[in-house]
Amino acid sequence: MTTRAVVSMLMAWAIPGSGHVYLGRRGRGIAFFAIVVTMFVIGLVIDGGLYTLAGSRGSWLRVMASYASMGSGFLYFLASRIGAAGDVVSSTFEYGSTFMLTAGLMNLLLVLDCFDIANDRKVGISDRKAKPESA
Amino acid sequence: MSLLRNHIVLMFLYAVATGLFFALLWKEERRDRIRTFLAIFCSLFFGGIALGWLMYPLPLR
Repeated sequence: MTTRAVVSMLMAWAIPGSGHVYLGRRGRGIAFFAIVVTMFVIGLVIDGGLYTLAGSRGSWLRVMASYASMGSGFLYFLASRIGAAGDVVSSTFEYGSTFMLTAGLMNLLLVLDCFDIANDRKVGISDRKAKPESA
Repeated sequence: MSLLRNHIVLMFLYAVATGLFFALLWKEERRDRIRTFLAIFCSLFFGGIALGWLMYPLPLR
C-alpha cells in the first residue's frame, strides 16, 4: 500500500470527502462532505442517538452500529463530546439514529473508494478512453 | 423545524442524499449519474410508500 493511499484513507475517515480532494477529485470531495455532514446533522437535530461502544452493553448489533457510527470521523467525536444520546421518546429518534448511522457507513465507503483511486483500481470513464483498448 | 418531524419529508431527504451519494460514487458520466440517482431515489421513496401501504393491514386481527 502506498503512502498516498494511506494518507488519503486517513484523511477521508477524519474529514468526509477530504481524501477525494487530496486525490485531485475536488468537486466530488466537496459534494461528499456536504452529503455526509448534512445527513449527520439532520440526525442530530431530530433527536437521533449516537451509537457508542460504551453504550453497547455487550449487544453485538450495537457494537457493529458503534463501529459504523465511528466511520463518520470527526463528526462522531464531536457528537460524542456533546453527548448526543438522542431522545428515545421522540417520534423521530429512530430516523435520526438511522441518518447518523448511514452517514458513518457512507464515509467508510468513501475511505474504501480512496483506497481504490489511490491504487488505480478505479478507472474513470475519461481515463478508460485515454487507455488503448485491449483485445 | 417542524418540517423535519414529518416522516415523508425525512424519507424524501434520506432518498435524495443516498441517491446523490451513490450516483457520485459509482458513476462517472452525467447521464449514468442521473439514471442511478433516479433509480435509487424512486426505489427508496416510492418503494417505501408502497411497502407502507402493503403493511397497512398488518398485524392481522
